[in-house]
Amino acid sequence: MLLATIDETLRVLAERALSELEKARDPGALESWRTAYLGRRGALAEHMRAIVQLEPEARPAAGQAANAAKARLESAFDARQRRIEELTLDRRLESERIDLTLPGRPLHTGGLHPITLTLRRIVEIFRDMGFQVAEGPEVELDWYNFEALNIPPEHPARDMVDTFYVNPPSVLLRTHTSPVQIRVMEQAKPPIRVLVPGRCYRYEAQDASHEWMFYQVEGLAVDEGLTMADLKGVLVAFAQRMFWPEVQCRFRCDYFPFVEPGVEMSVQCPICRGSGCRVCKMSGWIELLGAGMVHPQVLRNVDYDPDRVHGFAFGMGPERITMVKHAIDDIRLFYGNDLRFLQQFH
Amino acid sequence: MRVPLRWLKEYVDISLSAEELAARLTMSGTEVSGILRIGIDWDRVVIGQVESIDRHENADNLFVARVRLGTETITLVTAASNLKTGDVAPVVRAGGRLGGPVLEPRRFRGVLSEGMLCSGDELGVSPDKESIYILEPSAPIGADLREFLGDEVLDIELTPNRPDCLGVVGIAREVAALTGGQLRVPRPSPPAGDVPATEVVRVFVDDPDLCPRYTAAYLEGVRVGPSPPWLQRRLYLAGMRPINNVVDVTNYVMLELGQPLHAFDADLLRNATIRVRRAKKGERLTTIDGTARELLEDVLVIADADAPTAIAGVMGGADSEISDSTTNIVLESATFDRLSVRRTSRDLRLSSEASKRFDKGLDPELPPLASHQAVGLMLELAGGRAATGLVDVRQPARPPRRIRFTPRDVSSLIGQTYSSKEIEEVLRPLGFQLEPSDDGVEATVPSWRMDVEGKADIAEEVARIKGYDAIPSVLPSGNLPAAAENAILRWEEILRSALAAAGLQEVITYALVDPHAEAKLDPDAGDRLLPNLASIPTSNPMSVEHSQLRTSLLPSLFATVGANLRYQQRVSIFEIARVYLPPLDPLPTERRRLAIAMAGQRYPESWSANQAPVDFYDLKATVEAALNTLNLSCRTTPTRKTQWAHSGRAAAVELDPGGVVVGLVGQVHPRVAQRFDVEGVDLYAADLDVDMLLAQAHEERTIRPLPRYPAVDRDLALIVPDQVSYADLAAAIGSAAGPLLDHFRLFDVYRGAPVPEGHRSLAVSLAFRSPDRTLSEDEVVSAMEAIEREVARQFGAKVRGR
Repeated sequence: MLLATIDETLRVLAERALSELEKARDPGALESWRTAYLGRRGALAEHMRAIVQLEPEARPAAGQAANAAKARLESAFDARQRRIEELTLDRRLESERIDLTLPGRPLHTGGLHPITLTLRRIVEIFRDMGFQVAEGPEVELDWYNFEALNIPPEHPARDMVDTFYVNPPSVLLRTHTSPVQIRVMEQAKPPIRVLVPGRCYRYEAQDASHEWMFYQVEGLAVDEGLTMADLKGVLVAFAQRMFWPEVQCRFRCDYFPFVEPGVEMSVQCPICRGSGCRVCKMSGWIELLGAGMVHPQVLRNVDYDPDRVHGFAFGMGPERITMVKHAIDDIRLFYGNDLRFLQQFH
Repeated sequence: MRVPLRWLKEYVDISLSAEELAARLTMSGTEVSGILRIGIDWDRVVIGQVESIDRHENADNLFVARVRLGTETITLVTAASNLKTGDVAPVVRAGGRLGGPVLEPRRFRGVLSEGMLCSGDELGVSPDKESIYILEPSAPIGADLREFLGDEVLDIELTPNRPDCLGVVGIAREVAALTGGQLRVPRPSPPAGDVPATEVVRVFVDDPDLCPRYTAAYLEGVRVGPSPPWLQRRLYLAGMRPINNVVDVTNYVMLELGQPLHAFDADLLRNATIRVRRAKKGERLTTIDGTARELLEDVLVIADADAPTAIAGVMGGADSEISDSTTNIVLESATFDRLSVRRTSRDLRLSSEASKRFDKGLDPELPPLASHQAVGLMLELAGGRAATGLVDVRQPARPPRRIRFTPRDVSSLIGQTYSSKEIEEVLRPLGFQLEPSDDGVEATVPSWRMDVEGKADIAEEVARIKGYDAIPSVLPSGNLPAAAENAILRWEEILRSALAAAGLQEVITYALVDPHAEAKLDPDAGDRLLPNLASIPTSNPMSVEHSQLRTSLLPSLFATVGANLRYQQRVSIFEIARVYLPPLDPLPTERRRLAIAMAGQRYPESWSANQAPVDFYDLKATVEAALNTLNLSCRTTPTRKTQWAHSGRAAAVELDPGGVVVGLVGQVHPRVAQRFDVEGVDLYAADLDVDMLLAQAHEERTIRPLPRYPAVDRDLALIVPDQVSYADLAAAIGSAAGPLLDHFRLFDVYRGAPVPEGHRSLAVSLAFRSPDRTLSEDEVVSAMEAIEREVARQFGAKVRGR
């Protein structure tokens, strides 16, 4: 066979192989192609064997040409194989489409009661200001709930809170967490900074804004040199974290027998931010808590010297805070425990 | 209390608008909860005078009036029959309005009415809806009615420490201090007549402890009749109904000065005698509200020579009431003990404008002033002659309270510096007298400010009048208390979080329960539940359902499950709260408990979940997970000692190690569940003593290094008789395996063929490992054989498939 003929044969062989390679569309066809052209008994191997038949001086050139063609076919095969792998993966991914709009699988988690969540937030904020959490009994002595707090029997301020009594009547369900002020001061010496969350009870008909069982968070600080400016500072810092950093606070005079001066704090309504809405009854303000400087008589009742130490105290309702934050219009939802309400806080 | 601004302005100059004034008062502690505006929405309402009034020619029940409005005269048709020629009355002109729709001229049976005459009710100045409101003859004809009658009424909510503000003059003092407006307090003189009052009326105070001061004035020859319009209007705007001139004056002066007064018909008092004494057994009195009342023995009464004629400080008696025929009057102005009035008012369930003032405590220096003021007004409005002065029976006057303070005392409490001048500007208009003393100021507290006791009160006066908003806000710079943490409360919150993370919803239920609630937990209780006598009742419950302090959380939780199962397929809830255990010593024992209740589906409702109902093992896993966060482990030991549980599905929770029983877990007995409306699904519950758990909670947990050598895993399925518990089997495996057993877990429980009847197959997966080498097959085989021998010996266990 002439060299020219063998070159021509190789050229035709290579062209046919490349054109057939283009037609291979799956791994099976690709493998058949490889067997047919690059296999041990394939067309190229057969061609190699034909070269042996050439005159010796023609063999190196023909061999080189055949090796070049083999390299070309192998590289084309690799390229084609990669391409087919890509196509196969593309086809698989295409077939694996899912409805991305189906709802996510619900997690098997529960949740905390909204009042617990609010209490935790309040505690967290005051803890950062050095207040430590304390607690006291819910069934309380008249002395702690009233008398030691400067509310003697038949004091007109007793009309402000209606009380559940137990027999004997010196035992009652605490109407506020303020009695824990006395219990704390009896046990400790200034400086004092405590925060007292807990359940309280008042003999009050239930309606959308009244519950006979509720939580209160009492705060008390006693130290030398404490002033109302400190009280304001602590409460403003609280409001800025509980609501939003620019929230405005308003302080007015109010009366609670165990503080003097007495304070009521309002904050801008968190729902409308002061412009007026249903939650704040169009006033832009929410009455948030009562506070004041601890009454000198209260300090004397626990053997503190009101000329030496001053204290401030405040009390707030987590139900009210939760209600204004979330525009809840009925306090009875909290202890009604309908899961359809509670689960909205998850 | 309602304070009309026109009235208030008699005592103090006011240049602020009603809104501004309300805001200032509110910020200083006198809360204005609303402003009622009389005349704000009147348009073209003018003062007219009736020139003629005739019956309508074509209608029996209508009248045609010619009414002069300044220069012009218009025709009006009205149905009211009280008009006379010359009457001065309010007229809405056509095109004007009284707040409602615009009034159009309208023809009534052929006569064109060019406006409308108004009733007092329409104007908001009297309760009368039927007749036309007749103005005083001095009203300027043709003038805009709003100029003459319009008013703004502040609705004021007073705190109980300020009874001195229960009169318009008290509010005027506040306004003067707040605004600097000139104050004009009434200073009436004692009546001067021909006879001293002491010769006409005799007053005996038998019980001075309940009546520190009693004054009586005497008037004769008065004519009882209606009060003039201005007085009636003021009373009405302030919230009281006009009665007659004598009674109206007593009410007017009470609203003005805050001192209640009572007028007796002197001719109905036997022997012209007033005796202030406690009621005697069996005495009765019909009060002016028409109710006959039995008087308890310690009720303070005003009696004549024979019998009670008023309940002191609360309400007068009908027998001596002022009537149209009254001509002679004894006027009482007294101070009664506030506790006595409070008790009487509460015991009789009878509250009046007078009792509401007396029970806050009134100034004993006020009665003569109020009496003189009232006598003067009565003489003016009802005529007659007064006796000279008063009968005044009183306890020795208490010396005025004096408080020494320095500006520094104020600033050290408030955190804001006030000058002596600023302090004086606040205190003087409030009635304080100030004298310089050695190192500061001595303030004499006015007799009506019984709430001001010391330096802190002085500081509040200054701070509130100058405004709390003027006080800076600073963060306290003092020492912090020693760092301490309430570990119990911290663990309590960790436990809460763990339970929520385990899929439970926290609930908060009422601490007061029905006395029968806890009896519902007894499956054998039957239909007639007995009240729980071992719990503490409240003595004044609002309802039976919430009358007793609970000793268990379970009934509240079960009821919550029942209520929620109406809407939900899955109810898994918990509560950590206190129970209250007798005896009272002097208080009950309050213990924290955890209750868990689970019923319905295991997972939240979803399109893809493999749903199954919850069972005991869900509950057990939850309890174990919760205890694990406290670094506690537990065993569940079957028990029959539970009131509320299914007899075969209840276990005591024992801490491991230790064996302390901290509570119970189990399925709720179906009869118990049914009482809480949980039917058709199984209810599971746990009831644990949280105080016990929290006391044992600790942070010690040793973490093992990761293993360096591979484990050899072997599965072992053992067929054992049903009565062999997994816990016993597991204990045997653990002890027989020797030190090479790293851990094992149960992976299958099977009952049914080919496992023989009365048996089950328990399959465990065991992992063997040595910390210092790779185990050989022989070592594992020998450990496995040891296990198999031991379980065969103890329980007759056979290896499945062998």
